[in-house]
Amino acid sequence: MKNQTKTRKLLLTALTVTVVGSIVAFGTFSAFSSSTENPGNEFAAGSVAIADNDTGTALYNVSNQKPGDSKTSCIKVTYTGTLASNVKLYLPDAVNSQVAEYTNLDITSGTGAAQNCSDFVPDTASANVFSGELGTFAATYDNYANGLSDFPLAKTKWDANDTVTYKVRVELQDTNSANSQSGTGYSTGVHKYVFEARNQ
Amino acid sequence: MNPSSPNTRSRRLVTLVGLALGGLLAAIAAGSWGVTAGSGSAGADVSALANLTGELNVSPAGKTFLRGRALMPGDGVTGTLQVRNQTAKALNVRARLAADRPDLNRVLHASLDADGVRLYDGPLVGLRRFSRETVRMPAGQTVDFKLRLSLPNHAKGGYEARTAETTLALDSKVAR
Repeated sequence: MKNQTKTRKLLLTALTVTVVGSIVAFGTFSAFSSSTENPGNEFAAGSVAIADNDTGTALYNVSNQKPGDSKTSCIKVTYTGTLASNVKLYLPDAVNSQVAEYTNLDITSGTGAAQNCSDFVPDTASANVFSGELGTFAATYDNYANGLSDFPLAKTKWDANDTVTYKVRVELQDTNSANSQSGTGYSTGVHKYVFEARNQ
Repeated sequence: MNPSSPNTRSRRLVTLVGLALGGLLAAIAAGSWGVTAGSGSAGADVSALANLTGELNVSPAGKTFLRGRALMPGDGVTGTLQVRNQTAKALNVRARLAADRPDLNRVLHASLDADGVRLYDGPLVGLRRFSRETVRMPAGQTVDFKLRLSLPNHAKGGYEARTAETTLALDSKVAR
């Protein structure tokens, strides 16, 4: 009987040691365990968007011009997308070459918001975007692939809230050959400038 | 001592119950050891920013103009955004405010004023669509848009440790 009690006591002691040991082991594991997570997974597409401040008004729409007459207007282009993009300028419409060849086109980049360019300030570098004949521009840049690429000052991409203001000046040349053509009353026809953004 | 006597059995039972209780306490203590400490704040964090549009210049652009931390019921923050009509025509401007997550959509209160016109006043969720009210902005005019985000006094919950990073979007049409 005495031996039986001893055995029971021993078993009870062993059980106690096991339980306490397990708890200590659990506590130790809790204290020294480590894990890492990657929470908040989400996949969202970016956007490519570009806008301007012309409210649908043409940069120029003049008639009855004489040699030497010119028209200057400004347009502010704003990139409103989220993806870094390229922006190209092109003229998709055909222009009447008989006048387009004798119409000078100058495009300068800078800052400002007034359509009459009263607050226009040209960029300190690479301000001259294009200088030549309207006909040349139309023949060279007539879609996105061959469009005239331009970036905000000192950048190689367009990011959200980037803006560039373009001063566009058209002038009827005052030369003998120009006068002989323009004297016939030709028109370039209605055409549009397109600023198109595509993500890089 | 008789091992099968009622006294001995009771003592064993007490010993086992004591051991079980002790083990349970030890387990709870060990478990609590691993609980991460709180941030010290149970309030709501809010912020707002706005981006340019073609017709409207905003300042600051793409940067936070309103920020509130650890807001509790009764708290609110106000931010001002300068908006300029950079077209040659008068515009009717409306706004909407979208949060990056919906947690505070129903508990947070938003009010938006521009040039004396109250564009919106109500729960944040109601401004997920463009405001019905518009403000007329003549060509070249600059108007302060004042946005206030607040937790009503009666807010009982649903704001604790929640965040709402909002974006104010503007839309304009040529005024007739």
